[in-house]
Amino acid sequence: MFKATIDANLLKDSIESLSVLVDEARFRISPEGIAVRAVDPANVAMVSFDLPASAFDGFEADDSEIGIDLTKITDILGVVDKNEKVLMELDEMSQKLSLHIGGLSYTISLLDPSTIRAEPKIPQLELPAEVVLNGIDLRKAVKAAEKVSDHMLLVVEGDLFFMEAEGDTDRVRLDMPRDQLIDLKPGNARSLFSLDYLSDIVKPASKSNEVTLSLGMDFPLKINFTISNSDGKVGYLLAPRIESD
Amino acid sequence: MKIAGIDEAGKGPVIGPMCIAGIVADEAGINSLKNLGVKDSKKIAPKKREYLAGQIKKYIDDFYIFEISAQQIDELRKIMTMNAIAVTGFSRVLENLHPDKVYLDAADVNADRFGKQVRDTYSKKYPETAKQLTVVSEHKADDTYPVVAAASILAKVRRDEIVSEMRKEIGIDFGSGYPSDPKTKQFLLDWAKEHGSLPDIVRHSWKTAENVLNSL
Repeated sequence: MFKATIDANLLKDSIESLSVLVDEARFRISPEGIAVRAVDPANVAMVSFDLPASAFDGFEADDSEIGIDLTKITDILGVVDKNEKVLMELDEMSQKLSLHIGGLSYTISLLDPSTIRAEPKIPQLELPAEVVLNGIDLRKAVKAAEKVSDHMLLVVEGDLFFMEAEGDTDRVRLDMPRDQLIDLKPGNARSLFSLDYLSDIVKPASKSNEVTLSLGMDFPLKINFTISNSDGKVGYLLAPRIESD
Repeated sequence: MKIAGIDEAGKGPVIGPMCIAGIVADEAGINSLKNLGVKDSKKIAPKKREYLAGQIKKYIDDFYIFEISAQQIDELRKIMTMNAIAVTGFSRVLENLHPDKVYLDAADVNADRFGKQVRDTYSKKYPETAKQLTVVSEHKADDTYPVVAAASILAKVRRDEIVSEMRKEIGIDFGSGYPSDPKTKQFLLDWAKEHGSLPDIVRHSWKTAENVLNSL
């Protein structure tokens, strides 16, 4: 069984954090909460998502796995006032999930989890540098980079964190010294990332005031934050593009 | 340099304690607070405020919250003004943090006088450290300085915790505890009618409380 009540806003932000990478996802439900591990179709980015039972207003569940078409949920939540509560209930027999919001009741058919890509194994990486910043500032940097290029260099040199984007003709560089950051664990890091992915990932990240970036030398980027001031956690792992000089 | 900010929550209400919170951080910590987007506690929704309180504690060196219960306030008011009680409380917080510089959200119409009084009270116990201390006392300091905004958040969250605990214990929703809150007013009237007195969590020295008891 699965029956849970949650803030519409929190559910919306949760789904958004997944839908920036995948259209369908396997949700692993347990008495402790809900977990999703997914990788995008091109194998460039992974997401790990954990929404513990404490993030819900009510949560009762046994172990189960369901497949959800994320676009359906996003559509439904599009018409919902963000301060409303959503009651979710799983009908295991018919494999349908119902969402009750105010007077509205939606019933959606679930996907057979086996038709959705299996959960990836998320590699455990030790990354030398760590930068903590406000999600709004991260989004600003990515927006600036988008103006000139389709990829972006993230660098930590000692105490300095900067981002650089170089297009065919133009260049953007944004320095973020310590006084513009929340925290910085110095280390040497320099990696290039696709803006296609970063632009999508920073959308949900920009709603968090505390985003942690972990970086290395031509190494994947880890982006971690919590979802709308809840106990919910999202982590992305984005593969680097290797610079060719 | 160790920089501190101090602010209070609950100077005005008729129910519950006054909480005076101070935090101390180095310059990097102050930048962390600024970039986290800490703001005046009154401008943040309660849930977000609690969440921010947790984030703040990660990036500061230390904090201290001094609580003065309604009963203590009543006792002290027999010999002191509310302003003098605030001065004592702010100084008590300073005594636990010992910063090099402190920003105070002035709890007195005269901000300079408030700063001076806090410094004088502090220097009675710590004359040497008080000489090195820079005091900045301003109104709306919680709007101006992230370190004071962070202190205001810790103070407000602590008071809210205590008040919500009191509501649970007493089993009646008495609202915010401020005299202007209709729920608070109704609670005082109902309680006084039923018991002929007011509970310990009420500041009996408040006009609102006196009026309720006089109306019986």
